[in-house]
This record gives sequence, C-alpha cells and structure tokens, in this order.
Amino acid sequence: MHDKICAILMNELFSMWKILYQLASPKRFYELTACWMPWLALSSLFLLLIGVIWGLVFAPPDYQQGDAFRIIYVHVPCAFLSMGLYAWMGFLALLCLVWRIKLAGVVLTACAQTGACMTCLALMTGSIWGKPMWGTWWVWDARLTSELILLFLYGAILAVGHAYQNKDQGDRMMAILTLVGLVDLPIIHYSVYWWNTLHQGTTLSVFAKPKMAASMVYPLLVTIIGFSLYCLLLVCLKARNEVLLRERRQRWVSEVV
Amino acid sequence: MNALMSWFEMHGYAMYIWPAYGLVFGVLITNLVISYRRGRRTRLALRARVVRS
Repeated sequence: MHDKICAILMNELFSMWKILYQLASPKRFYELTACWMPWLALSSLFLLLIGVIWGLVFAPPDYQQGDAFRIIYVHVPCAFLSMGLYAWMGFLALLCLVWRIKLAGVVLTACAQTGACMTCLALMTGSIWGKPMWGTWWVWDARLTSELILLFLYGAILAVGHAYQNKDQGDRMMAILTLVGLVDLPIIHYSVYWWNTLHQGTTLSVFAKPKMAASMVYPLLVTIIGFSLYCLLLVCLKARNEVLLRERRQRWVSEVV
Repeated sequence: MNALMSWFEMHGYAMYIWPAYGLVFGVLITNLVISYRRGRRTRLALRARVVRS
C-alpha cells in the first residue's frame, strides 16, 4: 500500500515537472500565453467591474470610517499583490539560479515591473486613505516604511537587470537580489504585531475568520482575484515581448511574427 | 437625482475616494496599453527584419 502511494506521488511529481519543463521552453510559453490572454483579459475586467461596483454601491459604510473605508477595494489588492508578486519572484529566482531556466529570468523582470507598479499604487492609495483617517499623508510607521523599502527593492532589482549588457548575467544578479530582499516580506506582514503602528492590523487572513462583515469582505475578495488576474495578464504581455526580443535569432520567432 | 449626488459625495469623502480610484485604474489601463503597444511594435519590427532578409 505504502509503495503504491509512493509510486503515485512520484508519478504526479514527474508529470508536474514535465509540465514545468515544457512551460520553460520560450516557444511553448509564447504559444500557451497566446491562448490564455483573451480569457485573462475578459475575466479580470469582469471581476474588477463586479468588485468595484459592489464595493462602491452595495457594500455598507463602515461604522467608524464611514464611506472613506471604500478605498480598501483598491488599496488592499494592490498591497496584497505587491507582496504576492515578490514571493512569486522568489520562486522564479530559485528556478533561475538552481535550474538555470532562462524563461524564469524573463518572467522575473516582468514580475518586478508589475510589482513595483502595485507597490507604488498601494503606497499612494494608503496615503490618500491616511489623510482623512490619521490626519496626515505619511508617517514613518513600521508598515509604511517596510512597504517603502519593498518599493526600493523592486527599483534596485530592475536597475541591476538594466545595468548588465549580458542578459543571463543580469538575470542571475536580479535573482540573487530578489532572494536577499525576501526578508522584507515577513517584516511587512508582522510589522503591525511587532511594533505599535498607526496602520490597522490584518483584516483578512487565510486561516482566521475575517474581521469585517461578509457584505464588505466578498467584494474585497472579488477585487483581489480581479487584480491578480490583471497582473497575470500584464506579466504575460511583458514576458512575451521580452521573449520575442531575446529569441529574435531563432527560427520559430520568424515563423510566429 | 439627490440620491445619486449623495452617493457621489460619499458623505464628504469624495475628494479622497474618487482620486484614489482614478489613480489606480488610470495606471492599470496605461500600463496595459503601453505593454500591448510595445509588443505590437516589437512584432512589427521583427516582421520587417524577416521580410528584409
């Protein structure tokens, strides 16, 4: 029985690795993402529309913050993705450094550009939300400062990537810097517990019951999924472009264009 | 009409909520359009190179 389970697990692992290996081929990636993109565009547009209308029109105002809390429907998805994309970049950095998968470097760059944009938006919308609630646009609070450090990390990773003429070398340096910067993620997450901060504690958690009413949480979940699909679409668009540029001397590129 | 105006005013928080939404969706759309146009330009440039050769 035990041997059978082990064999099934090994088989599953092997097929997963096979899929990953197939995806790692630039040509296969280009073909696959061409099929994904229309679906990603439609589903993200649909979910973003539903989530935003639900949050702005149908969700009830907060008992303390009133209608100002509605900024949550754009602020939290941006903040979630700023960290989520960085965590994903950590996995890509491992693929790039350990297995030397070239495509991982391409997707890493696309993720860094998208993540930097999301971090910037999270900081700006947080600042706009902070003005009516805290009476100031910015405080050197632990959560805000660690998120700002994340933006600098994204900037540094992109700058390092651009600094190298040799793309493979640039990808490796970006991957190393990404792995070093991973230490900022737990700091951002736990900053509201480790220090006394103006920023509120975690509202949504995977393992705990949400601290918000269901009528407020559902639109938030919808916008988070919508933003995630949008980011996936943007990463695909950017990565496809970079793949074409890097593989321009290959025969499949002339056939595709 | 009054209900619509009152919703738009967001009980005095309109000057914070609408700029935040405008900023986010403005950036999302601009980013998408720029990436799409860059991709199209790359494909056209590569196609021209293939035709030339």
